[in-house]
Order: sequence, then structure tokens, then C-alpha cells
Amino acid sequence: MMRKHTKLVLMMILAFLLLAGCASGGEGKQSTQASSTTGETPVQQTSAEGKTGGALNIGYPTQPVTLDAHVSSNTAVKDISREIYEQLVTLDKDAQVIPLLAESYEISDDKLSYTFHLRQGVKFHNGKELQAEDVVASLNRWIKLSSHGKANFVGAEAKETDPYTVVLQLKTPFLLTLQLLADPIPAAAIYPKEVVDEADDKGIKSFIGTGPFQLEEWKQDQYIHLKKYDDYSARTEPSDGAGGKKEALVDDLYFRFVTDESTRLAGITSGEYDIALNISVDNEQQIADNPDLQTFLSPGGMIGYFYNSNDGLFKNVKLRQAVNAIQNVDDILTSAFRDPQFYVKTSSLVLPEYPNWYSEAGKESYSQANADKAKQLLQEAGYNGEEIKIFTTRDYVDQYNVAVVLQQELESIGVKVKLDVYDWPTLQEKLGTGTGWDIYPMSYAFRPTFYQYAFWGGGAGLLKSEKLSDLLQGIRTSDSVEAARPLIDELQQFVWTEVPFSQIGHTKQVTALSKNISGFQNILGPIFWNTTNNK
Amino acid sequence: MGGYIVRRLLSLIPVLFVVAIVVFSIIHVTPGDPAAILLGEEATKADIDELRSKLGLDRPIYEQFGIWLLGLLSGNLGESIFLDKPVTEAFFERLAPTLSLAIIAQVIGVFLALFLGITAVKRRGTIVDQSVMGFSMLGISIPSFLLGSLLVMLFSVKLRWLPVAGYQPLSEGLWQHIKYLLLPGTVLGIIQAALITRMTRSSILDVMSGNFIKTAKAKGVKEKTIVYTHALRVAFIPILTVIGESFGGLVTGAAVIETLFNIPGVGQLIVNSISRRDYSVIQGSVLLVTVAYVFVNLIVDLLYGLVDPRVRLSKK
Repeated sequence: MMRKHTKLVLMMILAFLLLAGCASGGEGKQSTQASSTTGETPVQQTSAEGKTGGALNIGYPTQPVTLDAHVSSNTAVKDISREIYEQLVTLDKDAQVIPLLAESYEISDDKLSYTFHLRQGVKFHNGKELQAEDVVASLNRWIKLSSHGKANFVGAEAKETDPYTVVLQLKTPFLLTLQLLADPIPAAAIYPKEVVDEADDKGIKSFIGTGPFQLEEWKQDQYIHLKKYDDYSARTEPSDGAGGKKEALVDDLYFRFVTDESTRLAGITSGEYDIALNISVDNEQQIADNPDLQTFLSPGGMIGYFYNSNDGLFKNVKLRQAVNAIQNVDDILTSAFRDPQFYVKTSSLVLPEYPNWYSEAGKESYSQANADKAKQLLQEAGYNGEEIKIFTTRDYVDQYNVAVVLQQELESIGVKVKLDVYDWPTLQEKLGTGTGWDIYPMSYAFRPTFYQYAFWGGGAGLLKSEKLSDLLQGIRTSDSVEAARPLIDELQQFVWTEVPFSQIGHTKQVTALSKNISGFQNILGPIFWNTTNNK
Repeated sequence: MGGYIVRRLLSLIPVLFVVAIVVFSIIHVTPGDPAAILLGEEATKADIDELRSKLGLDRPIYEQFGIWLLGLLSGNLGESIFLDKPVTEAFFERLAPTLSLAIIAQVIGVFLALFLGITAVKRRGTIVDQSVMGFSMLGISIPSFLLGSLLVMLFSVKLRWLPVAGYQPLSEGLWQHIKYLLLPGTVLGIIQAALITRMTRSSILDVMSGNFIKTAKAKGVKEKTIVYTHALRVAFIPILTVIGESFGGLVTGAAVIETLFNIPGVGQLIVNSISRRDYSVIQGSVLLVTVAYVFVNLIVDLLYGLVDPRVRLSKK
């Protein structure tokens, strides 16, 4: 009776196995896993200060495109590679530059030479001691390939003075030299010289740094497994931001790539993940209501409407000012981010926590919500019912949400708006052509100085203006932040007067942590050293 | 029989050629490119253009197609930009998880469908019959990611019986392997079952009105024996056809389910490669999936002969 039935099922299985057979033994290529630890790692001993050992399972939204920190400004590249590599300098909790691989540094009076004295006895993951040749090779590659290097360090060169001293020689003074050397995106990561030497157009071939964690395994599209580096040379100062004493308090870090947010949420709820990144504000309540979890908020980025100031209708500043005048930032932020705890309402490009670059200049033009003024400006601009195209993507929900609110605001004053929605790569390409669109909302990862926002150099449609270039150039060549202060205010004023974009505010990033996690920090992105899993 | 198989395989060539052209065209008219994705969210256009030219993406489309086609003819599907390995290697690495998933889903699907279909026949016209038909309507129309999420909420979050997502290869042990594939396999299996159940029911009902069944009944053969031995065997040919056809659904369903459950299979590879515009991987994988699809259909056709000796393949 059931015999034939079973036979048939066996046939089906056979059919699939045949299919596998035509795959010419592909299954044999399945690499074996180093260890199986999906939430099943045996917990190690507890020390007096707290538990060390064990693993951190991180539900991470995207896989990095590479682990070559020099070449990419991709967030996943930054978050994972900063556990592996280190820089000469880094940022403390107030985003001030502090030494990391450098013991100390001096700047020449003419601001053209930066001399770095390296710490001795620092070991790469391959056991080799860090020396000047590694720093020289890495810095020169970063200058040549990274977006920071290309934009700000043309003609600069790193040279070895002795095995533990490196001089970075600039062509022109640059106020933010150290700030950019400390920036995690794209990081001026120090690789061994031989890694730099064997790199090709696609990037480096082996991923070796001096960080507290080393790469154990990268299972494409599944996870990256980092392991505690036993010979890590920590600094002795107390931990401070991304610097000071760094310690791997867990033995293993697993970045598990889970693109679907509901799966990340389910995983943190069921205890499979200890940390889940990029939780949307709409789902934060689920985390807050769960006694086993905690919410961690950190600066996300600035978000604004960017105009096509060089092509089409919006070449006219009056029209940009009109769109800026109708905006009610409270409505926009609430619709996109639900609750004030998830955003910062400010006209400044930099958060108030960083007073050096914070500026309230031009704030009277922020969030005017003035329909009459907007209509008046439309009239002055000669607007005649033309269709305004807003381009956006659903891949970043916050960007999509603020696009919809702007559409409604503009329609309320009689502007004809078309909202075009694309996937992220398509949007990038369409914006890159510089024509056929008028406005796009965009968020840029938070930076402690506004000079570091990438849009000045490469934002699609960003106003080409001599005044803007002069201001940026003035800031770059200032002797100090104090000397640059008037220019910082002037540039902020320029943004609100000429409106190359309208800033809406700053977002917060939501991370979900298990109650067992302590010591987790977010300094321009999550950091997992000094983090304990008490599970 | 042998000639038939050869003919079927030869008919693959024009199909593959058309698929190659269509896939290549679609990919290259879709905006976005690997260079922009590789350089990250904040890359400038100049940087992107520089990398495009290094990767040969700035060459004319026909030239890129020609290069790819020449490689294809020599059995080389190209290199993945992101995975830093040949496309064939990337594809075959991902085949095992997809096959395991497909087998689990197909087994669950076929058993469930036969059970439900036969139950509906036995209880024809009752509430049970109606419920089975309702189930299959629901199964066909429910989005797989929704069903997946619901099962995860129940079995992983509430009951904590099964993992939320992830994959363990067979080398980690059979139970580990199955544990990770059970939920996604069930989702796909339920969707498969929904497709096959209706056909099972109507096909058996069709056969049950046949004279040989009446004869069997008249001879006093037990209903169980009639259904399972006589009716099912004859009714199985159309069911088998649906099973074969539903394999296509299994592949597309796997793309969604593998992404949702983070299973490193072929479906997830294609989805991820599309989102990172890894051209050669998309092209190569779609071609290989096409080959697999044709193969499965061929195998199903060959199975007809085993199920029903009246089918003479060589006459086709």
C-alpha cells in the first residue's frame, strides 16, 4: 500500500541527487566550518570583574563588500574592519584626536610635517612587529586610494625616518589632517607592508591588522567570524571613546548577515543574537517592552533634502528657498522617526555635543513652516505648475518617509510633485547623471566635523559655487579650529541662505542588546572590544 | 529512450542562448553598478568611473557580451567581483544548501499534499473537504515571507524549538543540518503542498469514477486498497506533472526563503548578487538554474514511464 508511495518519494529524492550529480561534485567544495557556535558556545570562567570569554553573536544587516578599509566608505566595511585594523590616531568620546598606534606626534610650525613616533612591540596578527615601513606603505596607499586621500592629501607622502618614526609630509597645510587620519571611514588602517605590496585593483588579499580581534573566517553571505587576538598590545590609558585601553573580553565575534529586520528582531528576542543592529524606530517599542533586552541609542547621521542646484528648475535659488520655507521639521521628523528620542532637531550640521563645529548661524531659515512665504517665493521664482521630481528609495525607510512628507507639504501649496521610488543602486546611478530629478532626501553618516561630509565633494547636484569652495578652502588651511570659527559660521549661514540642501535634523541609530551585554559603545559606529557577554 | 534524452538535452542549447541574451540585457539596462557599491555610500562619481574602467565596465555592451559569450563557450562563466572566485565555484558551493532545502520542502510538500488530497476525496462534500480546498487556496496566495515570519514567531521566538535563521552543513551532523532547514523547508513545503493538493484531489476523483474502480468495489475490495493501490497509481501522472512544474516555484520561493532565513543557497546568492550588481554571478547562476530546471523536468518525464508503463517516451 504505502510501499509504492515511499518508492515515489525515493524517486523524487533521487531526482534531486541526480541534479546534484550534474553539479560535478560541487558539494565537495563546501568548506567545512571552523566551529559550530550558533548560540551554543560554552561559557568560560567568570573573573572577579565580570565574565570574560564566550562569544558575541551580532545580527548585522549587510555583508561588507570588502575588508579593505582604505577603498570603501561602506558602513559594514567600517564596522567590521575597525575590530581588525588600527590607525595611528583615533577619536576619544568627544571626537578629539588621541594617539593609538602612535606613541606621540608633533606638528611642524609650518603645519606641513606631521611626525609620528610609533609604539614599540605592537604585533600584527601574523606575529610581525609593527614598524615604520608598514605605516609608510599603508598611509601612502590610503592617500592614493581613499576618498579622503584623493580629496585632501594630493601630493602628500609618508616617509620613514627610522624604524619607529614616520613623517607625513603635506603639500599644503590642512587643518583636519589628524581628524581624517583618525576617521573610521575610510580608515587610514595600518596593514603590514607585504599586504600592501600584494594588493591589486580589487584590494588587499589578506586581512591582517593589529586590532584586538583577528579574522578567523569569512563565510560569504553568512557570517564573518573574528577571534580574540591573544598577543594584542593594548594601550595603558583608561578606555576613552575608540581609544585608550582596548580589550577583547569575548573570545569570538560573529557578524551574522541578516538582511531582513524581522529576522534580526526574532533572533535577538529568541536569544540567538546578543546584539542586533539597525533596528527601525517603529520596532524599538518591541525591544523596550522586552525585559530581556535593552535599547542603545547613538548618533545616526544628518538627514536633509538635497536639491539639483546645477540643472533644471532648482538652479533658481528662489525655488530652493521656497521649498525650504514650507518645511515643518517637527512634522517631517515625527513622521519618519515617531518620537523625539529618536532624532535631534537642530539646524546645525554638527551635533551640539561637538561645540568646535556646532553653529546656529542661519537657524531662522530652519523649519519655517511658512506657506505664505513659500508661495511668495514660488511666484518670485516664476514657478508655473511644472512637475517637480523627488527621487527616493525604500531601501532606506527614513529617506522614503521624509520624501513622502515633503511631497504632501509641497502639494498643499499647489506645487505639482512626482515621487519616483527606486532601489538604492538605481537611485545612485540616476542621481549621478545630474539630470532628470529635482530633489532627493539623503542621510549621511554622522561626522564630528562638517568638513568630513562627503557631499561637499561628491553630492549629486550639489550647488557649484565659488563662495562655497572658498569657504571650504579657508577652513582647510586655517591654523586652528579657533581661527576657522568665523568661516564655520559663515559656511553654515551660506547653507541656509543659498540652500544647496535643507537639513531636517540628525537621526539616532537604534541597537538592540541582550540584557547580558555590558560595556558596548558606539563611537561613529558600534565597537565590540571592551564588551562583555555575561550569558 | 536514449535518443529521447539526447534530443531533450540538445534542445537545451537554444534555450540557454536565449536566456543568456535576455539575462545579460536585463542586467545591463538596470541602473546601478558594482563599482559604486564596492566604493560605498559616499563615493564620488570620479572614483566610481575610475573603478568602472579598471573592471572593464566602461566598454561597449556588445563587447562585454562578446567577451562573456566567448568565455561561456569555453565553459568559463567568469569571475565574481565581490566573492573573488570563479562563478562556477561560487554557484556549486551554494548548491548543497539549496538542494537540501528543496528535498526537505518537496518531501514535506508531497506527503502533505497526498494526505490532504486523499482525505478530501474520502470525505468528499464534507466540511473536511471544504477545509482542505480552503487550505490550498490560502497556501497558494499567502506570501512566503509572511508564512515564514509567522512560523519563526511561533517555533523560534515563542517555543524556542528551532533556530531563527542560519545554516549548518551536513558535516556538522544530520540533526544540526535538518534543524536549521526545518522551518524554511516547512514554509516552502506548505506552499508546494497547496499547489499539489488540488491536483491530487481532482485527479483521484477523476479516476474513482472509472470502470475499473467500480469493478473493484463490486468485488468487495476495501476502500483503502482501492484508493491507495488502484486509484493513486493512475492518478499520479498529472500529480507528477504538477510536482515537476512546481520545481520552478521551489527555486523562486527559495530565493525569498533563503534570504529570509539567511541560508547560503543559490537563491540567496542570486538575490545578493542582484543587490550588489555582481554581473557575472547573476548571469552564470541564472544559466545554471535554467539547466537544472530542464533537467528536473526531464527526470519527471522519465518517471512517468515508471509510474505508468503505458507512457512510451521513445514515441514522443
